[in-house]
Amino acid sequence: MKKRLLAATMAAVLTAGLCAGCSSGSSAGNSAKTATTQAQAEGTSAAGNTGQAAATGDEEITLRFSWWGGDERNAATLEVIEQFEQLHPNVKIEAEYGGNDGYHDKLATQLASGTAPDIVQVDPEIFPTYVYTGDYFIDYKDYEMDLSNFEESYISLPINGGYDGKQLGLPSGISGAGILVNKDLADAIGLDFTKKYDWNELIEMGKKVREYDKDLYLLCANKEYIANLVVFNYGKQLIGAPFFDSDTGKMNITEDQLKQVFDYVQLLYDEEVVAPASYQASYSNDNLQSDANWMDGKYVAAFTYVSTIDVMVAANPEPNYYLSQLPLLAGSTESGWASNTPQVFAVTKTSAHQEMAVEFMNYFFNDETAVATLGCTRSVPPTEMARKICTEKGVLSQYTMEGADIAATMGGTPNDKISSSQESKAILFDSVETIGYKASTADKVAADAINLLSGLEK
Amino acid sequence: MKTRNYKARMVRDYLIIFIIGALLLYPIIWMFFATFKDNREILGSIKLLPEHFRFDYYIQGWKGTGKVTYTHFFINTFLLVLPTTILTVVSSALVAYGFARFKFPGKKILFAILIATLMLPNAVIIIPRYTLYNKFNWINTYLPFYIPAVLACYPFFTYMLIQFLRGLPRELDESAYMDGCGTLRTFMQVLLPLMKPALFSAGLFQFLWTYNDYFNALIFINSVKKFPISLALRMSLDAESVVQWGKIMAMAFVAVVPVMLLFFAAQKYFVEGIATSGLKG
Amino acid sequence: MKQKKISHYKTRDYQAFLYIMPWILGFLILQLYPFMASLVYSFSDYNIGAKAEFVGLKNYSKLFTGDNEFWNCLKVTFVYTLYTVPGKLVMALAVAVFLNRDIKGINLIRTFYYIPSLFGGSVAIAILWKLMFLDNGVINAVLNTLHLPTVQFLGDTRYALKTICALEIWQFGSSMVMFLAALKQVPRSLYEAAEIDGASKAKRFFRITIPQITPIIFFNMIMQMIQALQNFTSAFVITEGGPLKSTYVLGMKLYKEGFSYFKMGYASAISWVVFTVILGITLIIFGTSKFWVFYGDEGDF
Repeated sequence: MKKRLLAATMAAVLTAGLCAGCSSGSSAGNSAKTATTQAQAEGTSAAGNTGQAAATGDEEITLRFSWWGGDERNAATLEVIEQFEQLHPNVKIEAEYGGNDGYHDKLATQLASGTAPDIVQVDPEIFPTYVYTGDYFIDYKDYEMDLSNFEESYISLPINGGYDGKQLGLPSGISGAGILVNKDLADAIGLDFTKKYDWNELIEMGKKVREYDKDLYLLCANKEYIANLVVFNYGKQLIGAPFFDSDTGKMNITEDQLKQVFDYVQLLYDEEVVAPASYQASYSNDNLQSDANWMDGKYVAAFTYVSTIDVMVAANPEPNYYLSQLPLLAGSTESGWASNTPQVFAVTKTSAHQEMAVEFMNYFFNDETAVATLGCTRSVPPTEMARKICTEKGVLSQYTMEGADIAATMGGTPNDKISSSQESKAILFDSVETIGYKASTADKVAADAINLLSGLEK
Repeated sequence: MKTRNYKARMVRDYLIIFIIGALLLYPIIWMFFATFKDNREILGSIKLLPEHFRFDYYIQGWKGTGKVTYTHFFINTFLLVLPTTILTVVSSALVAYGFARFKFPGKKILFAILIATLMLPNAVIIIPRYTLYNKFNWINTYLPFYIPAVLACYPFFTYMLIQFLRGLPRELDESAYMDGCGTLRTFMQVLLPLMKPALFSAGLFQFLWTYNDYFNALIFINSVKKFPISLALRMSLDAESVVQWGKIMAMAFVAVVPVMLLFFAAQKYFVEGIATSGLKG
Repeated sequence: MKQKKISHYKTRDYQAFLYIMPWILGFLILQLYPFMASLVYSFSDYNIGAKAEFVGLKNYSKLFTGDNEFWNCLKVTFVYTLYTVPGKLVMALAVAVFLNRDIKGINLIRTFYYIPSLFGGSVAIAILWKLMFLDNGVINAVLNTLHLPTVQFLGDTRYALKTICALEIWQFGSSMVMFLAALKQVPRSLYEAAEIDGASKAKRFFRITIPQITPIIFFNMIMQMIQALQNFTSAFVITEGGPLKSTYVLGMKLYKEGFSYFKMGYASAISWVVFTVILGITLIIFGTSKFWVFYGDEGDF
């Protein structure tokens, strides 16, 4: 009898563990209070809401703020958080930061289950997917967000957070793409990137480099950069429009046009403008700075985004550099690229303290101390005011400024939301890879790609 | 004659052991020395030993990112891993006992279900689980790890203990019952001591798995303050800064040390458990 | 005389339910419910955030007929499994048998051999592996010193998968430890009796050792197979499924479809296919186990 009692007690103890979990979890655990109904009520109360209600109260407020970044960015952001907390003693901001890898996968899960942080940093090319699959973000215009420092034409662009007249996201900086040129090496070989040039000239330059020294290549690249900066740009320049029409959801690019683009990609590999595909395989995605050839100064130039310029330079700091444009197609009206932001910041509708979250964003973007602290850890700041402060303080790197300036001069059309989706990009990355490995010919790859891309049409 | 052959065989045996060991451990040894090298020395060189033994990378790495140091990350890891391990071993043992030593209606079906759950891919259940845990407000706590442990949701260990128990002769149970023991007593006084090696194995494995876990931690733990080491390590690899391999290797190595120490320590118990077997002949 | 199957349960037997109660709870709430939920998802078009719409078998038909990546994934996953599971088991068994004798310092040796297994699924080790096998990594540096050409372990479609397999097989230590434990459990008396009967070493090995440890072999085989078919981390971290999808295992495809493309319905369908494959193979192995697995409780389960 006693033994049976013991056994029963043990089982009970174990199951009690479950119940203990239930009760302790709700009190101790989650700091984000997900109050959907409250959020919706707050959302509809438009600009009339003074926003002071939550701010100066004695109410203890906790906000969750997520971003990705490296050491410098994290340190700067944490400092800004601390500054804000000192100004608002009743507010605590929980920092949720980490690496880029897996960030958006996790964010998607959180958005779907209503557990996303109050303030989120999002990739501007992934942002549209969230905007169109659910109503997750507040409109800054409904709240007391001071947008006067931003240029209206800049922030109303979808890529910078403006959707259908609503400001769902705020751009964190000015970014764009370009070519980082190793001046010393380019001069030695006699290559000039300072003027406008077209795609064919790029090939010629590549050939010249190989003739000069068999150990050198013209461009540091991988399949992702080639897809993003060559396929998209060449393609858009060719058809004068983005790959898909945002409004109708139909494809603009035809198989012939795509074949022409892929023919060019084939040329890049055949003429050895870039290193062999099997070599590039080790440095895919955002890992160009680890490319051993780059670190050894064996490339004349590299594809970059403005936000990665400093990283590339740091990997090989000895030479002098300058920034250059991407190639243009002769006779095209469309440059295919423009400056855009490296990230957007949004406040989620499930936040229980939307006014305070917006207050923090106000501080983040408009306060002089905050701006000076953040410097260019997120590329060139998006507001004129911030840029001035950073230049005065000398925290803006010369190369980053150069890159941003060049990007700003291009007025091309950014990618539409369909072609910038992960799925579409995967199709193009795979296509470039197949061509690079000579596993198939440009026309077959184009046919396959068109087939797969048409599956993305709405 | 015999001694010469014997000695030759000994030498040969030890040579083989040494070669295998060297091959197996080379990556770890390399990693250890890499913690002292800068990027140039790590890539493209076969030299095992670095030019200088600098501890910079350890110091820099330990500081972590932001304000959270690796001291904190280690504490988090142990807070996460130890309870999970203990709870798993206890509950799995009890459940295994139920399956291995009793006949009851529906046993075959339930056992089949247990085996089936072995094959449940984690990715299938992760999203519904996340939503469920969210309803209980367990996200950003370590409960998503503790609760499955309490409820023996790691069928691997239950199965392993069942198999082990089946290897122990029934006579032990029978003689205990004849001595007047109830089921619990039989379990705790007769079978449990014999199960020590298996229990230790289970505990060690669960410790390792939870310690090394990345995906689940990534999904369920949000604040950096609560990060275990696996997440902290990954964080230092962000592509936006220049990758210092030495620093990463340093922290990776530091992360591995407690596990190795534990294993060295537990080894003794492990051996003793095997040496004493319950029944002879 | 074959023992008649007991059809009555002793009262004591019902206590079993108390012991397995925690698991039943866990199973129902944390396994069955999510499992069923994902089945429902697999029949629907569920993009994260939007409402799930029922679409019947569309996901499955697309998977089998419209998705050319799927069959490649299956092939890659099978090849991976066929390399790593036997590879690991054979290595583990061979080394365990080799070490199962009076060797001085056996504990130390066993500990050292086990060390690679300490890193199962560890991101840190995956990164280390990648670092070592880079074109200019240390492995190639060694090859070059031996005047062998550089091998593109990660970039060449012929070698990438094998490199990933190598990482897995390198970690055979865990299986080895289990085999060692099992070998120690084989009663000495059996060997002594066989020796008296004049059996050779080989005979003793194949007729006594192997049969005695078949439960552990069986257990290891099943577990490794299940794990291998779901492999994700190493392929994801080291080669990202490349080059040219030569390491694109099913686990990765599932993750991509679900978490990168947000097609949870489609991803659930994939996971169910994975599950069915695992189930099928496991049932086959279980079926054959009657013929080669030997239990101490004489199968009285």
